[in-house]
Amino acid sequence: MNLVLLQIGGMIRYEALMQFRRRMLILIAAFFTTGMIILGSGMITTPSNGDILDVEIDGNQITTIYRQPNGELLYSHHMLPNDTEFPRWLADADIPMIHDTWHLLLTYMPGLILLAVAIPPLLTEIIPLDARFKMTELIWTKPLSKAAFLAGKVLSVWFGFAGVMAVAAVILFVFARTQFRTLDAWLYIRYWIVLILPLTFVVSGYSVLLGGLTRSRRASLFIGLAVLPLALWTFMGSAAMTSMMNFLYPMPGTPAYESYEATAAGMLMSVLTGLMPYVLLLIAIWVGMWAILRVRDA
Amino acid sequence: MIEVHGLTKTYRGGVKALSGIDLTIGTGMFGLVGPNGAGKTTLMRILAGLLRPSNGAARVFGHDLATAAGRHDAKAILGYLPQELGLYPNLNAYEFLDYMAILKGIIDAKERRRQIDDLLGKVHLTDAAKRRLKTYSGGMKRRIGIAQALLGNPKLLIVDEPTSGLDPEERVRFRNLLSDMAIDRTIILSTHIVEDISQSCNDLAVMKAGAVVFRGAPSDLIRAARGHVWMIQNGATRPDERLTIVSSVQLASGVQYRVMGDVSAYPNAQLAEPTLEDGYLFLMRTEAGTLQPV
Ligand SMILES: Nc1ncnc2c1ncn2[C@@H]1O[C@H](COP(=O)(O)OP(=O)(O)OP(=O)(O)O)[C@@H](O)[C@H]1O
Ligand SMILES: [Mg+2]
Repeated sequence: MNLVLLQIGGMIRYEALMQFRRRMLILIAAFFTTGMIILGSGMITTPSNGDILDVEIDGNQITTIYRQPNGELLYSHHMLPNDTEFPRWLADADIPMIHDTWHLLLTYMPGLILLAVAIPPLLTEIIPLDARFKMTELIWTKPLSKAAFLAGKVLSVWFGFAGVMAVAAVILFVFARTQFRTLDAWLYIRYWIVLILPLTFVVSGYSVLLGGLTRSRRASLFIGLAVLPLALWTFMGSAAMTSMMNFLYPMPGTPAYESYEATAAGMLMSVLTGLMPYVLLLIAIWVGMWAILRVRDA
Repeated sequence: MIEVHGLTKTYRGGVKALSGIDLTIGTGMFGLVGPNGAGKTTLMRILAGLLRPSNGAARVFGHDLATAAGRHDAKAILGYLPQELGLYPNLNAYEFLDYMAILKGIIDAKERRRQIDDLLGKVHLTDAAKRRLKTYSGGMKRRIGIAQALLGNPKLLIVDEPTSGLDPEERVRFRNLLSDMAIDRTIILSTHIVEDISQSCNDLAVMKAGAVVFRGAPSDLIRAARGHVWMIQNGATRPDERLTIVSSVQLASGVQYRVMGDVSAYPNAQLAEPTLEDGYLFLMRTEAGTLQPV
């Protein structure tokens, strides 16, 4: 056990170091960051009515107050359907912050496609690269189990991503601060930890593992292309993204949360639940690859 | 102690690389020679647990290579240098050796550092230790390969053509390094440079077409060729086609040939003392049927 942990730890350390020097993960994170900035500068525009200042609730009537570009206030009223429970706490909440934070998180939805597209073609080659460097024989003359090998390969990528994505998160937050008035940094951080990082992990996991089906780098590129739809499906499907707005403005018949904190937590929980099937798929692929390596060896 | 019984290997596609090998190899240096495609690498890869034989059994220091547990335990005491070795180009020598030492199971970091420093000194790469491996020359890479095989003081060392690509000085140094290590372990060395064997091995096997055609001490192989190696001086014309020319030297008085075979047509032929290389060539010729053994 001690030996296995040491081996996995060593793989994490040196594989991550090599990936860092090969610039692959940095490239992916930079691609994502740049894409988000371009996307963000296009999307994060003031609503045509002006900046939202506040929301007032009177019975079934909601009044949204905007400050128009010319400085005048605009009162926009609408009536809620009868069976809709409106989140009452919005009336006393810091509306600009909530609006801007939610708006920022919404811009991540199309942005995440960039990650889904960039990861598979670049990461399926990680295991085949061993063969290209003529290292495969040497590795398998070590007392290293197939399970430890796969764990080391995948975890090294995860550690690397955790590092570069933390940098990306900071850069993107600083950028967002130039676009918005106030932001909920804590929600932003949790969103990265609960959604963006796990999605990156799951899709890079698919890519690294399925890349192990081949020893040729060229074939691994094709596997990468084949993993692409899977990655897109995971990104689109997992995050319950389309329903994110429903947490602020619930659909008719769904109960509203009682506070801002509860709303944020509810949104993050739904994201986590949405991820579960894909985590299970990753585990299945992992076990499958392990079985394939064992059979190949027999 | 390595024991191999009835080992055969047929590759996918039907190439029969080994056809029934029986070998027992004790401690010390064991040489493996034979022409290209004889099956040397195949045999070594089986002993290293990389390849499963089609048939037959192999045991390494009591560990049965047919079982996963046996292979795992055998690998824990193995040092291996593949014939075709690459390295991770983006690591420096120190990092690479540390990585390999970790995979090999040297748990203590201080011990790893001590061994790596020691081995880098032995292969004369201490000064280049912090350079990325992609900047290394072919011979330097080979020496890193040798160093990584020696990590962890393995009881079984399998080195597949370790001296190819080394300059003469490094080759001698490596040979001496192996000889020093051979005292209490088994070293299996394959080579095309017969001289490497004659200088260091007390036991050798000659393989050909998947079979062991000779097994014994280098002196036995030399003895087999005794009485068959001749020196003839032949003016300007090349000797008879049926003679095997081992070497030729340009002299002032003509060309002096070292030959094997029937020299009855050359009254001035002089019997020469055979070398291991002569012994090897004699064996190969004999096997091919162009020369009758005595
Ligand atoms: N992976 C493989 N698939 C199919 N045939 C193979 C494979 N590896 C080796 N062979 C064949 O098996 C035979 C023995 O090869 P092997 O590499 O063991 O020879 P060798 O003695 O090491 O030769 P060399 O001196 O050239 O290194 C050859 O005929 C070779 O073509
Ligand atoms: Mg070979």
